[in-house]
Amino acid sequence: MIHYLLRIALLLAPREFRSYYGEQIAAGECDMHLNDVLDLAVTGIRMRLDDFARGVSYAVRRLIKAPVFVAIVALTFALGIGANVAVFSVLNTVVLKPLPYNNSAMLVSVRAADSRRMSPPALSLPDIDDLRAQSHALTEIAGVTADEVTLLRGGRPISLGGLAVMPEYFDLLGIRPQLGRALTVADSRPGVNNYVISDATWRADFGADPSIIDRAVTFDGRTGRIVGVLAPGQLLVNPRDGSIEPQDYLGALPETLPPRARGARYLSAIARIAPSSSLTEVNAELALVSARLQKLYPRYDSTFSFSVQSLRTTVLGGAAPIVWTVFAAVIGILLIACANVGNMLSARWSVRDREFALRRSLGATSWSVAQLMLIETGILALAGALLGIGLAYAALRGIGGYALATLPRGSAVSIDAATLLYALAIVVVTTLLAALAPFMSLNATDLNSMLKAAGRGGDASARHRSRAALVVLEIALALALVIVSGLMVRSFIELARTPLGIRPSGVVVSDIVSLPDARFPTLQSRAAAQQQLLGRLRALPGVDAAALSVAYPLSDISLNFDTSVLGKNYPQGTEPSAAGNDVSAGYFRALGVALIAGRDISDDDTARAPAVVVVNQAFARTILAGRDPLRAKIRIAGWNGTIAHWASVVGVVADTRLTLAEAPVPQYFVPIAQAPPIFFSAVVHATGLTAATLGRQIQDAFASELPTVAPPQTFTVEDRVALRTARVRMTATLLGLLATVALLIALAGIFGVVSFSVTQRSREFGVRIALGAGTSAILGDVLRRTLATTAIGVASGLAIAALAARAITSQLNSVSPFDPATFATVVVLIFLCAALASLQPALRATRVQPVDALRYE
Amino acid sequence: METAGDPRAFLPLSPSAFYILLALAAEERHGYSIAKEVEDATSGTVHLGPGTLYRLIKQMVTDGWIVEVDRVDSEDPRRRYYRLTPWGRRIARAEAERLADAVRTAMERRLLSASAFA
Repeated sequence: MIHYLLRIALLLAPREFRSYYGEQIAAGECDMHLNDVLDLAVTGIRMRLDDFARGVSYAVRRLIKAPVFVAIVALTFALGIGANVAVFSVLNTVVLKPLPYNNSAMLVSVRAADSRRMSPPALSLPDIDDLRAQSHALTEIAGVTADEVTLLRGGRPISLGGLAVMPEYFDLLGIRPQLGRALTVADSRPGVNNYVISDATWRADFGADPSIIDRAVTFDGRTGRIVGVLAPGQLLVNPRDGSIEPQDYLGALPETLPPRARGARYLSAIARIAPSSSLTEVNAELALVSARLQKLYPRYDSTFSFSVQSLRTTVLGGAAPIVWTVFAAVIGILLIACANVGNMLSARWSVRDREFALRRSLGATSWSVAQLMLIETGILALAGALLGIGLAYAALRGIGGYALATLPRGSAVSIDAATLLYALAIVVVTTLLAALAPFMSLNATDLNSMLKAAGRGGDASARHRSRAALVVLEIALALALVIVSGLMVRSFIELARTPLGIRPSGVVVSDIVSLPDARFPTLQSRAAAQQQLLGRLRALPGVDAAALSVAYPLSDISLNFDTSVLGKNYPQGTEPSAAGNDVSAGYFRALGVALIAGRDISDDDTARAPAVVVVNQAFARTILAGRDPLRAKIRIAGWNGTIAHWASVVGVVADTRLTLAEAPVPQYFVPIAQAPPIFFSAVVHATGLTAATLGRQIQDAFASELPTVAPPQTFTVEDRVALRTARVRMTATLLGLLATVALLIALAGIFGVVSFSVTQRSREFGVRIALGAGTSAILGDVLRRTLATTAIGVASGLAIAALAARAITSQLNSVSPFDPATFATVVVLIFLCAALASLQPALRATRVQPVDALRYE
Repeated sequence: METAGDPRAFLPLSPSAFYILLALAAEERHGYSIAKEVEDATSGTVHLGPGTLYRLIKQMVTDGWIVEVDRVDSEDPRRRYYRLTPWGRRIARAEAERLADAVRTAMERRLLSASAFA
């Protein structure tokens, strides 16, 4: 027994000690006890630590003598590791961490599909009742919709944004208010106005007063109560758009208002699936439920169906592939950095080749040399990591803040324990990878060839090959990265350039405001308020067109309604649908939308005038196909307090896009005075004013006309485009930045290798120049070699780029993943850069003095 | 390898190191026999484990306090013998003098009586 333990303990000691004293120690083993074995083990580890400490102090002393080398390597590592740390912290928080809710893996969002409609429809209250009654796989379900209220505090209106939810929302997600209680079924009764507010609202608007619970407060002109306060930082999910962020409040979804009509679909829903069921099973069950409902309610449901998707997928939206793409890019950069540092280390250690070869011939093991290399590389990697973590922190704080806002849970990204652990793992892997090249070339050379080469400056060919191979790897990875970022940049440009069909600048639009129905209970009162506001907006100095409308291009509001053309018969459930909008006179003029035929909406189109409508070209082309649009009458759905009615088409306008991604859809425009909406925005075009000035004037107009409504924020159309393209721009910018870094490191690698090789071959060049070789011959030789290496790198890089481009296809808008222009441009760019990087050393080769070169012969 | 100068620069020695030097003061010994001798001389109160012993031996050989001698053990050819160098002997003597000084002080302060040496 002692025999075996002793052998194991001996293994802990350094090899040198073991080989010299192992046998002697074993000779005394018959007299040994367990404490002797322990003594041996402890001493062995101690000796190893001592060796390590000696190695570290040796390496530090060596490195201090080469501050420039240390700075370059540490900086290269800092870029590679820093980029990794920053992106990993994003990946971890946004993609890897589970949602911050109870048993979040079993949470799903309920999706609806309607084959007749373009944009994904929502759910109605009866839909949710049906799911509750008919699905066994969904154990809990809660309807949700975005909501807003105006809170009156000390006579000042404060606009709050929140969610109206069914009370089940609290239990489903496991949300426990820090103060007061959650919403209950009793809070959904008509006439009850109870709210749970966020910690931030509680602090900002109520001075963190704990006695606020159950006190009467004015919400939207009605008396309401605050029954609870959410925990600080509580993230609330809205399954409609997958947003997960703090909200100002949670209100109860009214049970009966708006009417429980099957077709009143404005809700989205989250649900919990039974622990025993899978998503596939749930969807199979929902397909059956949908089929049953389609038969039961052909009027509403003939083309309508339900499905579920994991809530995680809904929340992530398109973010996961973007973050993974950027993560792959930073791994690429780290590999390039390792290859480059490997080359630099290789060159640095090659100076000592003879010493090592000699040491080894005298019995030193490769391992002891490798240990020195690993320690030196490890110190450099650690220094790089510390610097890199600092860079990552600054990056996340600086430009990152803006980029992170476009990602779900982006505000929660920080450099936490998991990130630091990742950084440590990266340091280990980086050390091993970077030390691999010098170690391999060390083993590839033997004493004999080394001594022969001594003093003659011939670069061992094995070493040169391994260095060239590393440069090929760097070029390949850099090329792939530049191509992927090039595709992203093109995609962003295409998206940002998407013609919306409206005037590109000078238009200021407002956020949506809603009229409190307690103050404006009738259509007439709303119409009057809107006319007054409109009058004031038109009178603003410099304004040449002002209008009110429910939606405008990129407003995020799209209301789809069934419609039909008078005199045409539709089988039940096949009526076409179109995007409806209520607009005032001046809307098309303000946006610069051309009138194609007929007339514009005018101020005379009041409630007392005949019902009219303007349609866009897409409507005329598809729904009115084959008819004279200006003689058609179409059915306008009842909405917002109006009833369904027939209206004459009096004008056709050019198409506009509602979103950047979708082509123009059929749209109709109802005069605002004939269907005054509860919520609306302003659209104003002015000349000779800055957007900020115009925006302030619009806000002042709202404040004076509607003193009980918080004035809306204003934006330019360019702001809206920037908002919609923020995520794509962020990805393009980030990848562009990373690709530039990758390219620079790779070019430094090319420069280093060519430079080294020119120095090594200076004797050869001297001889050739002495024999009459011209400048162009020498220059050509060096450049040809560089370009040959580059060509191999480009060829392998194209293969990597093709794979990478295929992986990101889903993120490209109107750009082919194999876009020939991008590929060709980048290949030319890489060759140019490679030639440029080798130009200086090549010129140096032509200036070799034959006398100097031959002196050493 | 420092073999000149003031041996007091290396004091105090660790007890283990001092006992090893003591064991080698009389005769050449192999490692295992050093451990045995130390244990006997201290009536079993000082036990040198193999790790401690050979680490110190290695260090002392490197520093020139002891040398390995060419002598084959008839019992076990794996054993190697060590001898004190003159430099090692000076260091051992210096440590013994340091300890003797300490003992003298202890007697003056009546911590120890002369009968302890009886």
